[in-house]
Amino acid sequence: MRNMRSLIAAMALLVMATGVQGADAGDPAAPVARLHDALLDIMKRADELGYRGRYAAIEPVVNESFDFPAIGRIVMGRYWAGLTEQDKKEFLETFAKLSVATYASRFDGYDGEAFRTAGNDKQNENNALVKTELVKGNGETVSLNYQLRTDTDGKWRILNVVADGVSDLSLKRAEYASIMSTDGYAALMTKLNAKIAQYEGDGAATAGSGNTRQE
Amino acid sequence: MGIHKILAAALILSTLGVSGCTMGSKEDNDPLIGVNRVVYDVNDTLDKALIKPVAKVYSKVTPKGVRMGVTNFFDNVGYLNVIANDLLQGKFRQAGHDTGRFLLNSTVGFGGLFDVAGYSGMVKNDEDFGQTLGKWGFGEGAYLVLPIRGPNSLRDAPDLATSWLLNPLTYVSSGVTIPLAILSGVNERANYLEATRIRDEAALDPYSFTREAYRQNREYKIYDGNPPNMDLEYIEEPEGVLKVY
Repeated sequence: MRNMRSLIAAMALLVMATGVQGADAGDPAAPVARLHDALLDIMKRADELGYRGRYAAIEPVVNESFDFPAIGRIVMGRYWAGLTEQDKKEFLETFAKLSVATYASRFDGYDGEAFRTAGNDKQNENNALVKTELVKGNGETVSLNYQLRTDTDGKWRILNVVADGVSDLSLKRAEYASIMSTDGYAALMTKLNAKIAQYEGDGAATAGSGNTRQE
Repeated sequence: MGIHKILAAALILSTLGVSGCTMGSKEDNDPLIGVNRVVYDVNDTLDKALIKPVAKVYSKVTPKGVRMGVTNFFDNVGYLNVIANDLLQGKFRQAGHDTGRFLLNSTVGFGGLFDVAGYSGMVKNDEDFGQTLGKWGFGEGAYLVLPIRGPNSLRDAPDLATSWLLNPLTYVSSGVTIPLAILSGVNERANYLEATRIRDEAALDPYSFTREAYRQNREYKIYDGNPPNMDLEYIEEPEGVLKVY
């Protein structure tokens, strides 16, 4: 009897596990959930990890969850076509680094935050909107809506994050266009790298001092 | 914990629907950029040297409850402008609701210091003449940076007049209104401290960052949080540009 029960339990676990795996290709919410889990993890272990540890922990998840090649083309807009292959590659790498650095820098402490799924809207075969909320320790919520698309490999990847109505991609696109039109690609790269260095510096400066973002 | 809390009120903006147009070739729609940037820099200098430090001190020395009371008070005296624009947009039920809200807060809420209506679950609406013009089909016109006030546009600027005319404080003697206007400004700046801190941390080009954030926030408000065209379409153009609609 007892054996039977544990066998059923094991089978149930197995079904659940495969169910989760199978969902990965078809469920646009999966990469978002994975990102959120990773963020919660670095928040909870923020002090222990330090900036570098948080960066290392979140890097593979961010690179896996976001569709950087598509994002790069969108944020560079009409300037994309004018870049050399070398520049495109460099830009995508730097942009991905900045994204990881931003997460590592912002999610530097845990104060009872939780992520909540608020809805899932698959618009067609290739596009989806996953609505979530970040619930802060004090109960305030920030809406985080993820726009995803499937790549040629059939995997869902994140294109854009819209936080409380402000689209990350649009902001960056506006900024980059402005820098490209007045100062050009080299200046943009300098600024991107300076921003990454700034996050790194801030991270080093506040290491061990806990959550310093609350003013 | 501030994640992208750039402009507080917002939901989904169809970045890739509405901004499909802002993102296109006329992505800047900023014909006055020369003057705008100069005003932006002056504002920024003034902010760093005076307004922001004052707002910081203000938010240090006042309890949160006091700041909330101040915010409530100024929101309430500005609420006639909301009601008027409810009517102009044909939202008659909402106008009735907002009138009730205004009356309740003005009386039971001690002249608006307490958002009694909010506590009892009455939604607070956000309407202004710029949104009305947007609803009537007017485009942004041109982006404007106003001295001290900051981001604005040709479409939104007329609201400065309507909200001034519809604000009861306008008709009180200037000996009272000037100190109140200063308090309102400092209080508002204090409410944005966190948002501007994040902008300063994240922005590569604060001018265009602010412009884009302002636009998205306005777009969101015009459509009351439900902008059209949430669908995303990608079209590979011959020269390899990925277009988003």
